[in-house]
Amino acid sequence: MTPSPRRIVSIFAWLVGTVLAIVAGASSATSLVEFTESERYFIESHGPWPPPVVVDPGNRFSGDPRAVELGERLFSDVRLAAVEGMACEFCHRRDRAFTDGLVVGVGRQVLARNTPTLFNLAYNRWFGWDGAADSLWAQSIRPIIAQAEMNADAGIVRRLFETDPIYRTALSGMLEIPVGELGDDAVLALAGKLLAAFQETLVTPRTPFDEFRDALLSADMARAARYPLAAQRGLKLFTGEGQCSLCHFGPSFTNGEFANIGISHMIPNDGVDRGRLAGMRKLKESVFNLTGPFNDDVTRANAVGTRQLRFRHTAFGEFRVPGLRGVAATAPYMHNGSLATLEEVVRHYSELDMDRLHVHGGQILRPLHLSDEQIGDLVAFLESLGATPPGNTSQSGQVIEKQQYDGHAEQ
Amino acid sequence: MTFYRYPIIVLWLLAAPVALAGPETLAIVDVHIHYSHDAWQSLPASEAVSMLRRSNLSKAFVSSSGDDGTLSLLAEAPDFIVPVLRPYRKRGELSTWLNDDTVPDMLRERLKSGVYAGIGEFHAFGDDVELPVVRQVIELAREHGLFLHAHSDADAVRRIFRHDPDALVLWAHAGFEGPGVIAELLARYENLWADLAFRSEHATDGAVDPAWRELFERFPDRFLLGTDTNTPERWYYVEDYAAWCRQWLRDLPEQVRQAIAHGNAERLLATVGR
Amino acid sequence: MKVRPWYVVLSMLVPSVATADDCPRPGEGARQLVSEPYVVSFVAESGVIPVGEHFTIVAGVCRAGMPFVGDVQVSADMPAHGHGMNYRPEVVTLGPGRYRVSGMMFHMPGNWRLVFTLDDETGRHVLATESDVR
Repeated sequence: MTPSPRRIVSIFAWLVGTVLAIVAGASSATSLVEFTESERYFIESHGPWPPPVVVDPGNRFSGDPRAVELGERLFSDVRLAAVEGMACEFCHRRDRAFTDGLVVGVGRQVLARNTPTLFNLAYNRWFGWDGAADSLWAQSIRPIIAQAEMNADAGIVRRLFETDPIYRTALSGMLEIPVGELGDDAVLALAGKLLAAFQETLVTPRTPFDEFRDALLSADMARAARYPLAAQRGLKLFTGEGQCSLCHFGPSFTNGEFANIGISHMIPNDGVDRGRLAGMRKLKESVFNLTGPFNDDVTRANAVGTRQLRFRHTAFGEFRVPGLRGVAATAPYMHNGSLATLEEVVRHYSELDMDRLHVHGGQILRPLHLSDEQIGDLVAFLESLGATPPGNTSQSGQVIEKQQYDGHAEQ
Repeated sequence: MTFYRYPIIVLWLLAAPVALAGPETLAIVDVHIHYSHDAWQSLPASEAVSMLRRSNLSKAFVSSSGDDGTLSLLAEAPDFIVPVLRPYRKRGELSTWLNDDTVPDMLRERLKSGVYAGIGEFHAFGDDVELPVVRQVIELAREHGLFLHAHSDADAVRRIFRHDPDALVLWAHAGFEGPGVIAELLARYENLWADLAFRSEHATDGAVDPAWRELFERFPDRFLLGTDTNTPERWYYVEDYAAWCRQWLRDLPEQVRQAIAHGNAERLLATVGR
Repeated sequence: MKVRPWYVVLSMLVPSVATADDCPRPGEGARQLVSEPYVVSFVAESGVIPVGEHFTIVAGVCRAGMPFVGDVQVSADMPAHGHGMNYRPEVVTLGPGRYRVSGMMFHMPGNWRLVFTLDDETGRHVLATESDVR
């Protein structure tokens, strides 16, 4: 069959169109932002991901599958709280990247701080916005016994472990002495360590950023170019002029320390949130800190940060630098949930009030007065730290991908 | 048991009055307070003064962005507040004031009231001091016999004294310099005082660091205390700061302790005729 | 993470200095700070100085080629940013002139100044060096 001239013309037109489309596509696919040596250093520092599994030497149950299972059960167990219907997951909701989506947490009472996500905690040095705990297991005890939160006590926890056959049977195989004979603090430490063993398993998945980083490092430019240009430009600002990577450092995008970024730390009608300063005091006073009797690391090498902590006046009003993986799924932001969106967060940094930061010498934090386009770029980059493609901010993280997302901002 | 109990009670009774007159009630002059517009919006003047008194301060040196904040506190407690004239009309001027040639006239106008003990706290680093506005501020302080509360590096302090060898300088935060540089400047300029606002490295858990102890004992009459309420939140820190100072001051000889807590501030005030 | 060469020395950096045999050396790759008659040789126990993680330094300190007798303190700060470490290092004496410094932590990359303060009967001696830590 001979094609008609008209048909040939149409095939030719199709071919030309296709070739042009491929050329256009190829040219956009090779679009790469140029990064300086310093920016590349920071990009490299933000990986690899996922990092190697870590075991907490201070928690004898860390990495123990039996403890992980019991911890997960405990996490959802409403009998752990002296408030009807409350459990850890009441605030740390699985369908919300283990946050509650609220401005500040609501336990038995309305709290002063935003509920943080539980992802990537295995890599933290300090826990809580103020770092009042030096281990994940110690931090896990705090909300259980806080009157404003779950309002429970050691008696409630011991009863649960003794009366529920699943806990009782499993624990009898894990402990040297019956759980009923443990002292109050030891029972709480046990609950904290089981909860910690579970939470250590919550790790955010690989992201478009990780694909880009690895491709860039292996000089696979075609693969790298799949990372959207806006995210690349945002990454350049983040690792370059913005100096964000200095504190949001490393694979988890946090150096694990504390900073004052000029956010108000007044508590409405209740004075001031002292932040890290109060955290240091609480840490020192806690029987559960790593210098105390419940640290399972007999060498106490893991307590070095607690022992050597330096008092600083600047700690007043500082809060822990949060990791940024999966950040698009954890709105609202800051220690008090005062910024609703990532765009607001970037605008806050862009227009920093230097009078609120104590100025002396070269400043890491300074207002950059970014354009709307630059702000959009930074947001695109931050969104690319989640598993879902940039632009879809509703989900992040392996666990919530399996869950229904209800789409409501407030409970 | 009874046998042992009584001596303990007697000892406690004997010790109690000593403790009450001890460091917990040690009078402190806080020389680094700001009452800027965001603070006065949330904290009325009467409440602000109560907060300072609650910390058991005997006096507070106050400078504000703008100065009306200082004057409102002064009106509330004239015997307690020591007004210091800040060259900033509002927050956000700590770098722009250097090139704002309307500042000297604003200061001249305010200085007519004669209530101020000093000019500051202002920010000037290195050769900022050579700028005409800063030179005029140094000149105004000389004319009116006032001290300069300078948030400056060592270079800027040297330049201030080069322009006016008789200047009286209260060096904010001791310039965040280490003991070596501080000692060098205090030895060279006898009219230099240093406030310890935002400094924490000189003491740990109530124990004074050896290098700083040496410095305090070598220059016992030159150091002062200050919270620096650069944000409204830090008003709540005045009490914490005073308590922290009372703790480490306990580690110093009595005379040095009294001097740093309040004596040096009073001496500085006497030097400017107050 | 790796450590860039210590490139600025405030006192005086001498790659190889004739020291008596009694002068303790902390091991391979140690760097030296010299302010006659004092010599400090130090190395990170793990071989590298990490960013954002605790590390330990082992140091040998000498005076005129003999093990130093006196008090040793160690501190560090970032001169460009005007802040120090969030931790207070602990110096433990391992033997004559030999020290172990724990609790060090450089919580961000960049230029850090490491300061050894030596106190003996002649007074205080400060030896410092700066390095770009990455």
